[in-house]
Amino acid sequence: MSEARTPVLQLEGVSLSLRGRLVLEDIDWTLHGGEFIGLIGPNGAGKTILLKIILGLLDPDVGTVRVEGRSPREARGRIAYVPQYAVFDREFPVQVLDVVLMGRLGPGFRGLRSADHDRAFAALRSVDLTHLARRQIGRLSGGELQRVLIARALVQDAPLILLDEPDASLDTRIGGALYDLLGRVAERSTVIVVTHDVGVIDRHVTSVACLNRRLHYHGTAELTQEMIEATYGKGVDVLEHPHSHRLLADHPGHGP
Amino acid sequence: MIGEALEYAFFQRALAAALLASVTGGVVGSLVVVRRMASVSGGLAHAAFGGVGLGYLMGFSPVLGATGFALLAGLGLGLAQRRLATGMDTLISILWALGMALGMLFVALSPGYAPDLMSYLFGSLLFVPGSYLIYLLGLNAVILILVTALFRQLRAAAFDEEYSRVVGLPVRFLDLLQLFLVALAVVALMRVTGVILVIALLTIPATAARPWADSLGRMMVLAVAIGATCSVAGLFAAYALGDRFGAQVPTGPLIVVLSVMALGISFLANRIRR
Repeated sequence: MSEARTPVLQLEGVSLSLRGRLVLEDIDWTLHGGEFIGLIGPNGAGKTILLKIILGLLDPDVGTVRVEGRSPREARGRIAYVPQYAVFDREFPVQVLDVVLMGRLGPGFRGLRSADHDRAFAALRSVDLTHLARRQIGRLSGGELQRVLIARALVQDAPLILLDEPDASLDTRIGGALYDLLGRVAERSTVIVVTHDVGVIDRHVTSVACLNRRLHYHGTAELTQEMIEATYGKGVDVLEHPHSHRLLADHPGHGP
Repeated sequence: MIGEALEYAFFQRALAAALLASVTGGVVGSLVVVRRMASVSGGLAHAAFGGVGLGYLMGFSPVLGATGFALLAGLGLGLAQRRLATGMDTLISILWALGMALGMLFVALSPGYAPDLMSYLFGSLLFVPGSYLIYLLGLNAVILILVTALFRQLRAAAFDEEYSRVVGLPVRFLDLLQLFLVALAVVALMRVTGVILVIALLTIPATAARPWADSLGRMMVLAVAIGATCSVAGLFAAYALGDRFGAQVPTGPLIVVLSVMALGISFLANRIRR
Protein backbone atom coordinates (compact mmCIF):
# COMPACT_ATOMS: atom_id res chain seq x y z
CA MET A 1 0.00 0.00 0.00
CA SER A 2 1.45 3.29 -0.99
CA GLU A 3 0.76 6.25 1.21
CA ALA A 4 1.38 9.91 0.73
CA ARG A 5 4.61 11.11 2.27
CA THR A 6 4.21 13.26 5.39
CA PRO A 7 5.04 16.84 4.42
CA VAL A 8 8.21 18.21 5.95
CA LEU A 9 6.34 21.38 6.75
CA GLN A 10 2.65 22.10 6.82
CA LEU A 11 1.09 25.37 7.91
CA GLU A 12 -2.67 25.74 7.86
CA GLY A 13 -4.51 29.00 8.42
CA VAL A 14 -1.69 30.48 10.53
CA SER A 15 -2.32 34.02 11.77
CA LEU A 16 -0.59 36.04 14.45
CA SER A 17 -1.07 39.52 15.88
CA LEU A 18 1.63 41.22 17.90
CA ARG A 19 0.86 44.34 19.90
CA GLY A 20 -2.44 44.79 18.13
CA ARG A 21 -0.95 44.51 14.65
CA LEU A 22 -1.75 41.61 12.35
CA VAL A 23 1.72 40.31 11.42
CA LEU A 24 0.84 37.08 9.66
CA GLU A 25 -2.51 36.42 8.03
CA ASP A 26 -4.00 33.08 7.10
CA ILE A 27 -0.86 31.36 5.91
CA ASP A 28 -1.12 27.98 4.24
CA TRP A 29 2.15 26.43 3.21
CA THR A 30 3.04 22.83 2.47
CA LEU A 31 6.53 21.64 1.65
CA HIS A 32 7.12 18.01 0.74
CA GLY A 33 10.88 17.97 1.12
CA GLY A 34 13.89 18.77 -1.03
CA GLU A 35 12.90 22.34 -1.72
CA PHE A 36 15.42 25.17 -1.59
CA ILE A 37 13.28 28.18 -0.90
CA GLY A 38 14.18 31.84 -0.98
CA LEU A 39 11.81 33.74 1.32
CA ILE A 40 11.63 37.41 0.48
CA GLY A 41 9.57 40.33 1.66
CA PRO A 42 9.98 43.91 2.81
CA ASN A 43 11.29 44.77 6.27
CA GLY A 44 8.64 44.14 8.88
CA ALA A 45 6.81 41.67 6.63
CA GLY A 46 6.91 39.00 9.33
CA LYS A 47 9.66 36.79 7.88
CA THR A 48 11.49 36.26 11.19
CA ILE A 49 8.17 35.81 12.98
CA LEU A 50 7.19 33.11 10.50
CA LEU A 51 10.47 31.27 11.09
CA LYS A 52 9.97 31.49 14.85
CA ILE A 53 6.48 30.04 14.52
CA ILE A 54 7.86 27.11 12.52
CA LEU A 55 10.51 26.65 15.25
CA GLY A 56 7.88 26.70 17.99
CA LEU A 57 9.51 29.75 19.60
CA LEU A 58 6.24 31.63 19.02
CA ASP A 59 2.71 30.25 18.92
CA PRO A 60 0.24 31.44 16.28
CA ASP A 61 -3.09 32.89 17.43
CA VAL A 62 -4.90 30.51 15.12
CA GLY A 63 -3.87 27.81 12.71
CA THR A 64 -1.69 24.73 12.97
CA VAL A 65 1.97 24.07 12.29
CA ARG A 66 3.24 20.58 11.58
CA VAL A 67 6.86 19.61 11.06
CA GLU A 68 7.11 16.05 9.78
CA GLY A 69 3.56 15.63 11.06
CA ARG A 70 4.41 16.73 14.59
CA SER A 71 4.01 19.97 16.50
CA PRO A 72 7.07 22.24 16.41
CA ARG A 73 7.80 21.49 20.06
CA GLU A 74 7.75 17.74 19.43
CA ALA A 75 9.93 18.32 16.39
CA ARG A 76 12.63 20.12 18.38
CA GLY A 77 16.03 19.14 17.11
CA ARG A 78 14.57 18.31 13.65
CA ILE A 79 14.74 21.95 12.57
CA ALA A 80 18.06 23.73 12.22
CA TYR A 81 18.18 27.48 12.63
CA VAL A 82 20.49 30.35 11.81
CA PRO A 83 19.18 33.49 13.55
CA GLN A 84 19.44 36.87 11.88
CA TYR A 85 21.21 38.48 14.80
CA ALA A 86 23.49 36.94 17.37
CA VAL A 87 21.25 37.27 20.41
CA PHE A 88 23.98 36.22 22.80
CA ASP A 89 26.76 38.00 24.65
CA ARG A 90 29.76 38.28 22.33
CA GLU A 91 32.06 38.34 25.38
CA PHE A 92 30.80 34.96 26.61
CA PRO A 93 33.84 32.76 27.31
CA VAL A 94 33.18 30.08 24.73
CA GLN A 95 35.19 28.95 21.71
CA VAL A 96 34.04 28.52 18.13
CA LEU A 97 34.18 24.71 18.21
CA ASP A 98 32.02 24.56 21.35
CA VAL A 99 29.45 26.89 19.83
CA VAL A 100 29.25 24.62 16.78
CA LEU A 101 28.96 21.55 19.02
CA MET A 102 25.81 23.07 20.55
CA GLY A 103 24.13 21.90 17.36
CA ARG A 104 24.86 18.30 18.39
CA LEU A 105 23.11 18.68 21.75
CA GLY A 106 19.53 17.59 21.81
CA PRO A 107 16.60 16.56 23.93
CA GLY A 108 17.77 14.87 27.09
CA PHE A 109 21.26 15.01 28.49
CA ARG A 110 23.34 12.89 26.20
CA GLY A 111 27.03 13.66 26.14
CA LEU A 112 29.06 14.23 23.00
CA ARG A 113 31.14 11.58 21.27
CA SER A 114 34.15 11.86 19.02
CA ALA A 115 31.82 11.45 16.03
CA ASP A 116 30.16 14.71 17.08
CA HIS A 117 33.54 16.43 17.03
CA ASP A 118 34.21 15.04 13.57
CA ARG A 119 30.88 16.41 12.36
CA ALA A 120 31.64 19.80 13.93
CA PHE A 121 35.02 19.96 12.21
CA ALA A 122 33.46 18.95 8.90
CA ALA A 123 30.92 21.77 9.27
CA LEU A 124 33.67 24.24 10.13
CA ARG A 125 35.60 23.06 7.07
CA SER A 126 32.55 23.64 4.87
CA VAL A 127 32.42 27.28 5.98
CA ASP A 128 36.21 27.56 5.84
CA LEU A 129 36.74 28.22 9.55
CA THR A 130 38.74 25.27 10.90
CA HIS A 131 41.66 27.57 11.66
CA LEU A 132 39.49 29.50 14.15
CA ALA A 133 38.09 26.46 16.00
CA ARG A 134 39.71 27.43 19.29
CA ARG A 135 39.07 31.16 19.09
CA GLN A 136 36.80 32.88 21.60
CA ILE A 137 33.72 34.05 19.72
CA GLY A 138 34.17 37.69 20.70
CA ARG A 139 37.35 37.79 18.64
CA LEU A 140 35.65 37.04 15.33
CA SER A 141 34.53 39.44 12.65
CA GLY A 142 30.81 39.74 11.92
CA GLY A 143 31.13 37.57 8.82
CA GLU A 144 33.13 34.90 10.67
CA LEU A 145 30.56 34.78 13.46
CA GLN A 146 27.80 34.42 10.88
CA ARG A 147 29.61 31.42 9.39
CA VAL A 148 29.97 29.88 12.88
CA LEU A 149 26.21 30.07 13.29
CA ILE A 150 25.73 28.49 9.87
CA ALA A 151 28.11 25.66 10.84
CA ARG A 152 26.20 25.20 14.10
CA ALA A 153 22.98 24.75 12.13
CA LEU A 154 24.62 22.39 9.61
CA VAL A 155 25.81 19.94 12.31
CA GLN A 156 22.23 19.46 13.42
CA ASP A 157 21.70 17.26 10.33
CA ALA A 158 18.08 18.34 10.37
CA PRO A 159 15.57 17.63 7.58
CA LEU A 160 14.49 21.28 7.70
CA ILE A 161 16.91 24.18 7.92
CA LEU A 162 15.85 27.80 8.36
CA LEU A 163 18.28 30.66 7.75
CA ASP A 164 17.36 34.24 8.53
CA GLU A 165 19.40 36.53 6.27
CA PRO A 166 22.58 34.48 6.58
CA ASP A 167 24.24 36.60 3.91
CA ALA A 168 23.67 39.94 5.68
CA SER A 169 27.24 40.30 6.95
CA LEU A 170 29.03 38.28 4.27
CA ASP A 171 30.81 39.76 1.29
CA THR A 172 29.72 38.76 -2.20
CA ARG A 173 32.35 36.06 -2.67
CA ILE A 174 31.68 34.29 0.62
CA GLY A 175 27.97 34.84 0.17
CA GLY A 176 28.18 33.04 -3.18
CA ALA A 177 30.10 30.18 -1.56
CA LEU A 178 27.43 29.99 1.13
CA TYR A 179 24.67 29.52 -1.43
CA ASP A 180 26.66 26.85 -3.25
CA LEU A 181 26.99 25.12 0.12
CA LEU A 182 23.27 25.48 0.83
CA GLY A 183 22.56 24.05 -2.60
CA ARG A 184 24.41 20.89 -1.55
CA VAL A 185 22.57 20.85 1.80
CA ALA A 186 19.29 21.11 -0.09
CA GLU A 187 20.03 17.78 -1.75
CA ARG A 188 19.08 16.07 1.51
CA SER A 189 17.23 18.72 3.53
CA THR A 190 14.57 21.31 2.92
CA VAL A 191 16.15 24.75 3.06
CA ILE A 192 14.30 28.01 3.69
CA VAL A 193 16.48 31.07 3.47
CA VAL A 194 15.35 34.62 4.12
CA THR A 195 17.20 36.98 1.83
CA HIS A 196 17.00 40.42 0.29
CA ASP A 197 19.24 39.40 -2.55
CA VAL A 198 17.13 38.66 -5.60
CA GLY A 199 20.26 37.53 -7.42
CA VAL A 200 20.32 34.58 -5.04
CA ILE A 201 16.83 33.69 -6.19
CA ASP A 202 17.89 33.88 -9.82
CA ARG A 203 20.87 31.63 -9.38
CA HIS A 204 20.32 29.24 -6.50
CA VAL A 205 16.89 28.51 -5.14
CA THR A 206 14.38 26.05 -6.54
CA SER A 207 11.40 28.09 -5.47
CA VAL A 208 10.60 31.50 -4.13
CA ALA A 209 8.14 32.57 -1.48
CA CYS A 210 7.05 36.18 -0.98
CA LEU A 211 5.78 37.30 2.38
CA ASN A 212 4.08 40.48 3.36
CA ARG A 213 1.65 39.44 6.08
CA ARG A 214 0.27 36.99 3.52
CA LEU A 215 2.37 34.38 1.79
CA HIS A 216 2.64 34.04 -1.97
CA TYR A 217 4.12 30.74 -3.01
CA HIS A 218 3.73 28.85 -6.25
CA GLY A 219 6.52 26.33 -5.91
CA THR A 220 8.58 27.87 -8.70
CA ALA A 221 11.68 30.02 -8.74
CA GLU A 222 10.07 32.53 -11.01
CA LEU A 223 9.59 35.87 -9.34
CA THR A 224 6.73 37.41 -11.22
CA GLN A 225 5.92 41.09 -11.33
CA GLU A 226 2.55 40.08 -9.87
CA MET A 227 4.21 38.52 -6.79
CA ILE A 228 6.47 41.53 -6.34
CA GLU A 229 3.52 43.90 -6.49
CA ALA A 230 1.51 41.80 -4.06
CA THR A 231 4.43 41.82 -1.65
CA TYR A 232 6.12 45.17 -2.08
CA GLY A 233 3.34 47.25 -3.60
CA LYS A 234 2.96 48.68 -7.07
CA GLY A 235 5.75 50.50 -8.82
CA VAL A 236 8.59 48.41 -7.44
CA ASP A 237 10.99 46.80 -9.85
CA VAL A 238 13.87 44.47 -9.41
CA LEU A 239 16.89 46.72 -9.21
CA GLU A 240 19.56 45.57 -11.61
CA HIS A 241 23.07 45.53 -10.23
CA PRO A 242 26.18 43.75 -11.50
CA HIS A 243 26.66 41.67 -8.34
CA SER A 244 23.36 41.53 -6.59
CA HIS A 245 19.85 42.32 -7.53
CA ARG A 246 18.20 44.09 -4.68
CA LEU A 247 14.65 45.13 -4.40
CA LEU A 248 14.24 48.85 -4.47
CA ALA A 249 11.80 48.77 -1.58
CA ASP A 250 14.55 47.54 0.72
CA HIS A 251 16.12 50.93 0.72
CA PRO A 252 14.22 53.35 2.89
CA GLY A 253 13.55 56.64 1.16
CA HIS A 254 13.49 55.07 -2.30
CA GLY A 255 10.16 53.34 -1.90
CA PRO A 256 7.21 53.89 -4.18
CA MET B 1 54.11 32.17 62.26
CA ILE B 2 52.53 30.35 59.33
CA GLY B 3 53.88 27.05 60.57
CA GLU B 4 52.58 27.78 64.05
CA ALA B 5 49.10 28.58 62.76
CA LEU B 6 48.99 25.38 60.76
CA GLU B 7 49.49 23.32 63.91
CA TYR B 8 46.14 24.35 65.34
CA ALA B 9 43.21 22.08 64.46
CA PHE B 10 40.85 25.10 64.23
CA PHE B 11 43.16 26.72 61.70
CA GLN B 12 43.42 23.56 59.63
CA ARG B 13 39.61 23.38 59.57
CA ALA B 14 39.42 27.04 58.55
CA LEU B 15 41.92 26.45 55.77
CA ALA B 16 40.03 23.42 54.46
CA ALA B 17 36.74 25.32 54.58
CA ALA B 18 38.26 28.29 52.75
CA LEU B 19 39.61 26.06 49.98
CA LEU B 20 36.36 24.11 49.59
CA ALA B 21 34.37 27.34 49.52
CA SER B 22 36.68 28.70 46.84
CA VAL B 23 35.88 25.73 44.62
CA THR B 24 32.16 26.37 44.98
CA GLY B 25 32.59 30.09 44.58
CA GLY B 26 34.68 29.76 41.43
CA VAL B 27 32.61 27.09 39.70
CA VAL B 28 29.10 28.31 40.49
CA GLY B 29 30.26 31.92 40.53
CA SER B 30 31.46 31.69 36.91
CA LEU B 31 28.01 30.52 35.86
CA VAL B 32 26.44 33.31 37.95
CA VAL B 33 28.61 35.93 36.26
CA VAL B 34 28.10 34.79 32.66
CA ARG B 35 24.35 34.46 33.29
CA ARG B 36 24.17 37.81 35.09
CA MET B 37 22.51 36.26 38.10
CA ALA B 38 24.26 38.31 40.79
CA SER B 39 21.11 39.81 42.24
CA VAL B 40 19.36 36.44 42.14
CA SER B 41 22.26 35.01 44.13
CA GLY B 42 22.06 37.83 46.67
CA GLY B 43 18.34 37.19 47.02
CA LEU B 44 18.83 33.47 47.63
CA ALA B 45 21.58 34.14 50.19
CA HIS B 46 19.41 36.48 52.21
CA ALA B 47 16.41 34.18 51.87
CA ALA B 48 18.60 31.46 53.38
CA PHE B 49 18.94 33.51 56.55
CA GLY B 50 15.25 32.87 57.24
CA GLY B 51 16.17 29.19 57.47
CA VAL B 52 19.00 29.96 59.88
CA GLY B 53 16.48 31.68 62.18
CA LEU B 54 14.00 28.85 61.86
CA GLY B 55 16.74 26.42 62.82
CA TYR B 56 17.40 28.37 66.03
CA LEU B 57 13.69 28.59 66.81
CA MET B 58 12.84 24.94 66.19
CA GLY B 59 16.09 23.57 67.52
CA PHE B 60 17.49 22.01 64.36
CA SER B 61 20.70 22.85 62.53
CA PRO B 62 20.63 26.42 61.15
CA VAL B 63 22.72 25.17 58.22
CA LEU B 64 20.04 22.69 57.26
CA GLY B 65 17.41 25.41 57.66
CA ALA B 66 19.43 27.65 55.37
CA THR B 67 19.73 24.87 52.78
CA GLY B 68 15.98 24.30 52.81
CA PHE B 69 15.14 27.99 52.55
CA ALA B 70 17.64 28.63 49.76
CA LEU B 71 16.38 25.67 47.72
CA LEU B 72 12.73 26.68 48.24
CA ALA B 73 13.48 30.28 47.31
CA GLY B 74 15.32 29.04 44.19
CA LEU B 75 12.35 26.88 43.24
CA GLY B 76 9.97 29.80 43.80
CA LEU B 77 12.04 32.13 41.64
CA GLY B 78 12.36 29.47 38.94
CA LEU B 79 8.61 28.93 38.76
CA ALA B 80 7.88 32.66 38.84
CA GLN B 81 10.52 33.42 36.19
CA ARG B 82 8.34 32.17 33.35
CA ARG B 83 5.16 33.83 34.53
CA LEU B 84 6.57 37.21 35.48
CA ALA B 85 8.35 38.62 32.47
CA THR B 86 8.65 41.93 34.28
CA GLY B 87 9.11 42.51 37.97
CA MET B 88 11.72 39.82 38.54
CA ASP B 89 13.98 42.30 40.31
CA THR B 90 11.09 43.31 42.56
CA LEU B 91 10.45 39.69 43.45
CA ILE B 92 14.13 39.19 44.25
CA SER B 93 14.14 42.25 46.52
CA ILE B 94 11.07 40.98 48.37
CA LEU B 95 12.67 37.57 48.85
CA TRP B 96 15.85 39.31 49.99
CA ALA B 97 14.09 41.38 52.65
CA LEU B 98 11.65 38.67 53.70
CA GLY B 99 14.44 36.18 54.35
CA MET B 100 16.28 38.61 56.61
CA ALA B 101 13.06 39.70 58.37
CA LEU B 102 11.96 36.12 59.04
CA GLY B 103 15.45 35.20 60.24
CA MET B 104 15.58 38.05 62.73
CA LEU B 105 12.02 37.38 63.94
CA PHE B 106 12.69 33.67 64.42
CA VAL B 107 15.89 34.42 66.31
CA ALA B 108 14.09 36.95 68.54
CA LEU B 109 11.42 34.37 69.34
CA SER B 110 13.99 31.68 70.12
CA PRO B 111 14.58 30.87 73.79
CA GLY B 112 17.96 32.00 75.11
CA TYR B 113 20.36 33.73 72.82
CA ALA B 114 21.74 32.68 69.45
CA PRO B 115 25.43 31.92 69.96
CA ASP B 116 26.69 31.92 66.35
CA LEU B 117 24.32 34.44 64.85
CA MET B 118 27.07 36.81 63.76
CA SER B 119 28.94 33.99 62.06
CA TYR B 120 25.93 33.33 59.83
CA LEU B 121 25.63 37.02 59.01
CA PHE B 122 29.29 37.83 58.44
CA GLY B 123 31.04 34.47 58.47
CA SER B 124 33.66 33.10 60.84
CA LEU B 125 36.13 30.76 59.24
CA LEU B 126 38.15 30.46 62.43
CA PHE B 127 35.23 28.88 64.28
CA VAL B 128 34.11 26.36 61.66
CA PRO B 129 33.06 23.11 63.33
CA GLY B 130 34.22 19.78 61.89
CA SER B 131 30.63 18.76 61.12
CA TYR B 132 30.23 21.79 58.83
CA LEU B 133 33.37 20.79 57.00
CA ILE B 134 31.88 17.42 56.16
CA TYR B 135 28.68 19.13 54.98
CA LEU B 136 30.77 21.47 52.85
CA LEU B 137 32.57 18.50 51.32
CA GLY B 138 29.21 16.93 50.44
CA LEU B 139 27.89 20.17 48.89
CA ASN B 140 31.06 20.51 46.82
CA ALA B 141 30.73 16.94 45.59
CA VAL B 142 27.09 17.45 44.54
CA ILE B 143 27.87 20.75 42.81
CA LEU B 144 30.92 19.41 40.98
CA ILE B 145 29.17 16.24 39.83
CA LEU B 146 26.17 18.19 38.49
CA VAL B 147 28.25 20.85 36.76
CA THR B 148 30.63 18.30 35.23
CA ALA B 149 27.88 15.97 34.03
CA LEU B 150 25.77 18.74 32.51
CA PHE B 151 28.49 21.24 31.63
CA ARG B 152 27.64 21.55 27.92
CA GLN B 153 23.93 21.81 28.59
CA LEU B 154 24.32 24.41 31.35
CA ARG B 155 26.70 26.42 29.20
CA ALA B 156 24.44 26.25 26.14
CA ALA B 157 21.40 27.46 28.09
CA ALA B 158 23.46 30.26 29.60
CA PHE B 159 24.98 31.26 26.26
CA ASP B 160 22.06 31.13 23.86
CA GLU B 161 18.70 30.22 25.34
CA GLU B 162 16.75 30.56 22.11
CA TYR B 163 18.99 28.21 20.19
CA SER B 164 19.06 25.79 23.14
CA ARG B 165 15.29 25.55 22.82
CA VAL B 166 15.62 25.02 19.06
CA VAL B 167 17.84 21.97 19.51
CA GLY B 168 15.49 20.65 22.16
CA LEU B 169 17.45 21.13 25.36
CA PRO B 170 15.25 21.13 28.48
CA VAL B 171 15.86 24.83 29.09
CA ARG B 172 13.35 25.21 31.92
CA PHE B 173 14.90 22.33 33.79
CA LEU B 174 18.38 23.76 33.24
CA ASP B 175 17.26 27.17 34.54
CA LEU B 176 15.93 25.50 37.66
CA LEU B 177 19.08 23.43 38.05
CA GLN B 178 21.12 26.62 37.79
CA LEU B 179 19.08 28.17 40.62
CA PHE B 180 19.56 25.03 42.73
CA LEU B 181 23.31 25.20 42.17
CA VAL B 182 23.30 28.81 43.37
CA ALA B 183 21.21 27.84 46.40
CA LEU B 184 23.68 25.10 47.33
CA ALA B 185 26.62 27.44 46.74
CA VAL B 186 25.06 30.07 48.99
CA VAL B 187 24.92 27.58 51.85
CA ALA B 188 28.46 26.42 51.17
CA LEU B 189 29.79 29.97 51.30
CA MET B 190 27.66 31.14 54.22
CA ARG B 191 30.22 30.25 56.88
CA VAL B 192 33.05 31.94 55.03
CA THR B 193 31.58 35.38 54.44
CA GLY B 194 28.13 35.20 55.98
CA VAL B 195 24.88 35.56 54.04
CA ILE B 196 25.39 39.29 53.67
CA LEU B 197 28.69 38.91 51.82
CA VAL B 198 28.08 35.61 50.00
CA ILE B 199 27.45 37.47 46.78
CA ALA B 200 31.06 38.69 46.90
CA LEU B 201 32.60 35.22 46.63
CA LEU B 202 30.16 34.28 43.89
CA THR B 203 30.89 37.30 41.72
CA ILE B 204 34.31 38.81 42.45
CA PRO B 205 36.71 35.91 41.74
CA ALA B 206 34.77 34.95 38.59
CA THR B 207 34.71 38.55 37.36
CA ALA B 208 38.46 38.82 38.00
CA ALA B 209 39.01 35.59 36.05
CA ARG B 210 36.84 36.50 33.07
CA PRO B 211 39.20 38.69 31.01
CA TRP B 212 41.84 35.95 31.18
CA ALA B 213 39.72 33.02 30.09
CA ASP B 214 38.54 32.18 26.58
CA SER B 215 36.40 29.28 27.77
CA LEU B 216 34.00 28.77 30.63
CA GLY B 217 36.01 25.85 32.01
CA ARG B 218 39.17 27.96 32.20
CA MET B 219 37.22 30.79 33.77
CA MET B 220 36.07 28.39 36.49
CA VAL B 221 39.57 27.06 37.19
CA LEU B 222 41.01 30.56 37.33
CA ALA B 223 38.19 31.83 39.53
CA VAL B 224 38.78 28.96 41.95
CA ALA B 225 42.49 29.84 42.08
CA ILE B 226 41.81 33.54 42.67
CA GLY B 227 39.18 32.78 45.31
CA ALA B 228 41.48 30.31 47.07
CA THR B 229 44.39 32.76 47.07
CA CYS B 230 42.27 35.55 48.54
CA SER B 231 40.58 33.30 51.11
CA VAL B 232 43.85 31.77 52.32
CA ALA B 233 45.56 35.17 52.37
CA GLY B 234 42.63 36.63 54.30
CA LEU B 235 42.73 33.79 56.76
CA PHE B 236 46.44 34.19 57.46
CA ALA B 237 46.10 37.97 57.64
CA ALA B 238 43.31 37.69 60.21
CA TYR B 239 45.35 35.22 62.22
CA ALA B 240 48.48 37.41 62.06
CA LEU B 241 46.60 40.55 63.09
CA GLY B 242 45.16 38.69 66.07
CA ASP B 243 48.48 37.11 66.98
CA ARG B 244 50.61 40.27 66.69
CA PHE B 245 48.28 43.04 67.72
CA GLY B 246 45.48 41.26 69.49
CA ALA B 247 43.08 42.68 66.91
CA GLN B 248 39.90 40.65 66.41
CA VAL B 249 39.53 41.01 62.64
CA PRO B 250 36.64 39.13 61.04
CA THR B 251 37.87 36.88 58.20
CA GLY B 252 34.86 37.31 55.89
CA PRO B 253 35.11 41.07 55.33
CA LEU B 254 38.89 40.76 55.03
CA ILE B 255 38.52 38.15 52.28
CA VAL B 256 36.00 40.35 50.46
CA VAL B 257 38.36 43.36 50.54
CA LEU B 258 41.27 41.21 49.30
CA SER B 259 39.08 39.83 46.50
CA VAL B 260 38.16 43.31 45.34
CA MET B 261 41.87 44.17 45.31
CA ALA B 262 42.51 41.08 43.16
CA LEU B 263 39.73 42.23 40.85
CA GLY B 264 41.35 45.64 40.57
CA ILE B 265 44.70 44.08 39.70
CA SER B 266 43.05 41.85 37.09
CA PHE B 267 41.34 44.79 35.42
CA LEU B 268 44.44 46.96 35.48
CA ALA B 269 46.61 44.18 34.08
CA ASN B 270 44.05 43.56 31.37
CA ARG B 271 43.98 47.25 30.51
CA ILE B 272 47.79 47.31 30.21
CA ARG B 273 47.81 44.12 28.12
CA ARG B 274 45.42 45.59 25.53
